[in-house]
Amino acid sequence: MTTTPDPDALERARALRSLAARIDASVLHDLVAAAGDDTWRGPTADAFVAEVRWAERRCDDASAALRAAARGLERAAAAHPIAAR
Amino acid sequence: MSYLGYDRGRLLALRRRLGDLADEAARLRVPDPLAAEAVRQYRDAAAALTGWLGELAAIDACGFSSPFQPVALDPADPALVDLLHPGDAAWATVTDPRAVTAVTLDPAVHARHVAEYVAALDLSRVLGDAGRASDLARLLRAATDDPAARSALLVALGPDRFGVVIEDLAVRIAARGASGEATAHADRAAGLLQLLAAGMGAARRAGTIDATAWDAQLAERTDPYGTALVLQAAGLAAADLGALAAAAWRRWGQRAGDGLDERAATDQQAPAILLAALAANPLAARRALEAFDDEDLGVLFGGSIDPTGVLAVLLASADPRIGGADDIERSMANVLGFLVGHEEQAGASGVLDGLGAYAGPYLEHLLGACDGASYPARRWNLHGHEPTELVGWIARTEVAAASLES
Repeated sequence: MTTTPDPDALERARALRSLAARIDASVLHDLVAAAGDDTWRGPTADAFVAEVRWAERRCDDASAALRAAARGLERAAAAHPIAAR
Repeated sequence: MSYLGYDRGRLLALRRRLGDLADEAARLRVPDPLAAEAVRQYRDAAAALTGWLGELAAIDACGFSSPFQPVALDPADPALVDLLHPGDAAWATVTDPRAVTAVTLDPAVHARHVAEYVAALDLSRVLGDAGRASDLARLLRAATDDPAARSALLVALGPDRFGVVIEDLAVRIAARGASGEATAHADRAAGLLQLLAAGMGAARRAGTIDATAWDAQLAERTDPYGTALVLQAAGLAAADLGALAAAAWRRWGQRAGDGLDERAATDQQAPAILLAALAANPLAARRALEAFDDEDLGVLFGGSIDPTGVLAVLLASADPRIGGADDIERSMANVLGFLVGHEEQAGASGVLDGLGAYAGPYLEHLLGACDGASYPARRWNLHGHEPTELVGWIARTEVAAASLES
């Protein structure tokens, strides 16, 4: 009997990776450039840019967690194959 | 009181991007329970930023009770250099309810702001105020002390605007002595010019600015008096100093009486400054003297140039302690070759008595191997001049002959 990695688990992993890619491409990452010193200068501008950088780190953490979850699903799918149909 | 400067159009574009982020966050679906925590993190981040939309709208709204109230700031105030954006007609300023933040501005960004400020500055509003002049000097010193900031400052300023600023400062320096106020302005202008010149020289030596473009600016476009003031303080390598000094000398000779220094005392005009810079750097003096053509040398030995400064350069260029005779050959052959055809100029200019000391140490190179040494010195290329003709006339004056002998 031939076996194959669980296609449902692989599909879930693909969806998680796709979501990570969408977060990586978020408009949020354009904001530092859009909020540069040609746009505004002063304490409020500095505070906003600091918050954008914090938000970018949160997004980076989120997409890293999604990719880690996807790798977990892929390993599980390989470790527990199902019979090929 | 804190202030905020902003560009209306760009701030509106930023608000639109925040609106796009809100839409993006609303569209995002959780595809899997495993993604729930990550999506929550993303939404938290997006919500934190879209929460700024109201505040950004208030900045440009001029609302009666808004903490962002329009305010007119003095563009010549150095303390506001990081808030102003000279050249941006859409730039507005308002009060900012936030105090100055703990965010440390990148020195290179700050230096760029300083460059924008300096380029747009009405100098009279700074030079007329000792406090502001001191503040600006402090800004320039900080920006030119740090290599990255220095590079950012000069790149943002660019050679053309650097030249304009230098000429603006040079006009004030040339007016020294016209009145007590003019002298005070001149002193402050000289301090600022020295900082800019030293920064440019440091960047030039470090190779962080385009030497070709900056040299072209100084050699071909900046008023020779401005260039001379820059060369005096820039600390350039000998070859660069010699070449730029020769170029400035030529342009000054071509437009003598029509430059920024036309009203300055002779000992403060471009030739005196260039001669002083060359006398302090024998290798540069040689490079300049060998680059001089007959017109340049005609100016050098002309009546309008102080012979003391000329002799200082000649003697520095012939200093036997620095470099070998081969390094002196071209400059001395050029100078003596010119003078043999213009003896009267050497006499009239008052440098003749010192020519013995200038040429004396190199007689065996000028006249040939006549000292009985077992390894005769190589005779220099005198470009067709007879050796005795070249040196003999110098010996006709008592003082020069004595210094030749010694």
